[in-house]
Amino acid sequence: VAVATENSAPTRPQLCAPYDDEVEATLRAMETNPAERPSPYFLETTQGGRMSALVRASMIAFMGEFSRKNKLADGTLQRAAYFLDRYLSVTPESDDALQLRLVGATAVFLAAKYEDQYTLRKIDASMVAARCGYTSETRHKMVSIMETEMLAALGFNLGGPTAYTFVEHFTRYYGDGEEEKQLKEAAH
Amino acid sequence: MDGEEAPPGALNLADYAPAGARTVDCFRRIRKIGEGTYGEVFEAMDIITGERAALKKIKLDDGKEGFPRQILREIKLLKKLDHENIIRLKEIVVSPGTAHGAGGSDDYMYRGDIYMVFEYMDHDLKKVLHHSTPSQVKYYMEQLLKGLHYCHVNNVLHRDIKGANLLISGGGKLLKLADFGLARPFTRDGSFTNHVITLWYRPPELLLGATNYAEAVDIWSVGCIFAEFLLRKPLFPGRTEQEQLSKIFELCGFPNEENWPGVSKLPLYKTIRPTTPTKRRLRDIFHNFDSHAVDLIDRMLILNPTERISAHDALCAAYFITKM
Repeated sequence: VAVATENSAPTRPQLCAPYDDEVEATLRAMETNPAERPSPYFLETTQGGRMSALVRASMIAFMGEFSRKNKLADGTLQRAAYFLDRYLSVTPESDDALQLRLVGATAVFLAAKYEDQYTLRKIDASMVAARCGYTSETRHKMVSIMETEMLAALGFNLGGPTAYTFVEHFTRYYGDGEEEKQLKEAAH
Repeated sequence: MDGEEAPPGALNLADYAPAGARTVDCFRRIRKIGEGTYGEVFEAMDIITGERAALKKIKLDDGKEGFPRQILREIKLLKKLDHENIIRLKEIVVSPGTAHGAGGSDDYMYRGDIYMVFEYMDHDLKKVLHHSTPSQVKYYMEQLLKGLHYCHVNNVLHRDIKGANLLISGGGKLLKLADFGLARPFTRDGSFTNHVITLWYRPPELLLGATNYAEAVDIWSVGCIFAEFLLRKPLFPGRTEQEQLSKIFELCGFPNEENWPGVSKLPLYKTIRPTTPTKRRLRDIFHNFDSHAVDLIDRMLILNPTERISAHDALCAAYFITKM
């Protein structure tokens, strides 16, 4: 995601929000906090080369399809990707496809609940487990356990800015026209 | 995670702290303080720093909700709110064995427990609500309104202001808002559930079934607490929603389109019968008290939520400007 960052404070119009600069400073500080961002080298280090960039990309594709199909809230996929990268930064995973789907789908479930409190009207833990391929009656427990494990790995720091946050922030003075919407979508 | 070497030429990642929650073993349990909606609360001490803390154990059931969204919401809000009159969530810890990397296989079904770690506070406001001096009351009210104003500026409604959710520390000098389990961010056009706020402190618009409400719901609760401080007993101790409304109307008058435009369109308006008298006589029960205090209570307990005073304006009221 490429976003113009040279948006220096004095030249930018401050239309309504007196806290704009503070908001941006906080977002940037959070972005660089090591406890709240993924390691840039987790594929080589934590995953020890077992996971390729291609595998990660296919996980993101799976997660994207899962959130689109269930019409999950805007920003869910970006937050789920952020959870996934941070989880994979500290937790070595096998190359077991079922397990990787569980990790990806759980990241989406957590992110969706974080972004939107009505998420459970759309999906629950049982549906998440089913999408991964689990069939047992108690399959939702697999998701619950993975959730706790993921939350612990993230140190419960869930609110860091994602690609979505920054695009929203930099385009906050755009109107709601078709063109603006398309531009935002392209940036996401 | 094992400290595997970064590939040659890569940045030194020594400063990359592998994130992760600490375990509850970092705390020594001292005693059980109470029972919250979401589980038990313990007083505990951080073994490393010696700092006291309140540990709230999160009940995790085996339902299909997974990790409770209410807790996710509370975490989200508390991370956003940083103010001296709002309880600080220091960290979240897990039971040993929950730590990442421990499980994952099909037969590994241990989910672990989760504890929210809050700064320790001595007691709640309920304990002092019926025996505080006028200067203490002013001190508590000012801090309560400051914390609430900060919430409202940040678009957060507390929605459950009551004695048990206001915590006191520092020898009775410091008040903090706690228990954001029901709190939520608001938007101007949002539609919410009306089953929030403990009955005695619940505002008339919620009792009449409004689902589109705003900051004023919290102010009503503050007004009830303020009045309770002076009277040394609850202002509207209703046992049912119906009785709660009668008690309110008895003192604040009966709502009509004149004093509250739009009230007749609220879902439950037609179910209420006017009681006599219907004239507002709230001030009559406070005739022996500081008139600035009564003025402010009067403006907090206005039936029409859009006319109720804001936290900001309340802090500018004569009551807070005049010396004791």
